[in-house]
Amino acid sequence: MSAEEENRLDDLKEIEAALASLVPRGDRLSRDRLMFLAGQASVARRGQDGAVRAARWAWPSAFAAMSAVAASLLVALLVRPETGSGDRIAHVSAPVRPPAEKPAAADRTPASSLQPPDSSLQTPDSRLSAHVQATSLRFPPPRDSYHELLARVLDRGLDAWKPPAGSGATVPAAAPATYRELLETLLETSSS
Amino acid sequence: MSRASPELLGRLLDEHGAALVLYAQQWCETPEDVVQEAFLALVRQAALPENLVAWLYRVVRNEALSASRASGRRSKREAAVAHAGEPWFEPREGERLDAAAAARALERLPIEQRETIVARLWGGLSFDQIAELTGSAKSTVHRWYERGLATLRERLGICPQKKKTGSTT
Repeated sequence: MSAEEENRLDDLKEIEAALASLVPRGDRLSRDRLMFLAGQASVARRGQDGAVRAARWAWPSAFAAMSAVAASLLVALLVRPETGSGDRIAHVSAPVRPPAEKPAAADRTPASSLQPPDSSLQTPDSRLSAHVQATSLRFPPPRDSYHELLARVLDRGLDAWKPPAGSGATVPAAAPATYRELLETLLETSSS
Repeated sequence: MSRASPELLGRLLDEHGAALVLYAQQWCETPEDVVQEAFLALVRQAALPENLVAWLYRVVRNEALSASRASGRRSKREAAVAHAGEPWFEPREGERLDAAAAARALERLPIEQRETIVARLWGGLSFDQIAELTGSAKSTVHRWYERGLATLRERLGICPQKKKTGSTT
């Protein structure tokens, strides 16, 4: 610092000291009001801090909870026990029907009767009978069932009604299991 | 670092409240509100600043500038009427300077010189702190201070003391 600057600063010392002796007004600030507002701000700050702290933990907590739920669901999906609730395909073998009783010799139909009759010469009842018979040939009804009885009655009338057991009618030892056997049986019956 | 306690707040208010009001008065018409907001901002701080006094002056300066811009819509006449006759300093008997005359002379200085003198003389800030506060170089702040004091000395009629010299002619 040069001598000129030192002299200038020394010259300013007096005005500096004179100004510094002045005291700014201290009655313009309300101390009580300021302390009251400071207390309010402090309480609000504590509440704000709590809210900020809660907000800081809210998302991580939610994320952790969701992750835990997802993980537990995944584990449950992987290790779940087999249940019978799903669709299952069951292979069931068809039951073998016991051989039916052979019809009586008098009731056996000749082979020609299995041929479809001439539709022009048939009555509606006979056509129905033929239809039922043809259907029963294609879809064999169970032996001694209602269908067989119906077909027989429609074809040959009430005379074809099988007499009840014990009435003296002959009962074949064993009924044919297939239609071919039935047909052969009928052919044999008709030829004899 | 802890937060502002009521004791610390009271001590800061007693020691720097009046000077802060005078500092804020350089920009705005409501310096009391500005200083009050600065103290409340200190209360809201999670941790105390490094240099409390310098921090308070910075907050007061920013608040006062904002208040000055906000009140810029008011007419100059309204502002002049609102603050006419408010003394800056406490009147005391036996002072070397007339307080009202000093305030008037100070008010006529450029804002940067006025700010520097107020912060240095009544705020007790160092030139480094004032430079940081104003965002200027320390040498610039020093120059403002010297020029402001020289102007005040001329306007207030305070003559420099005669230096004692070693030799007389």
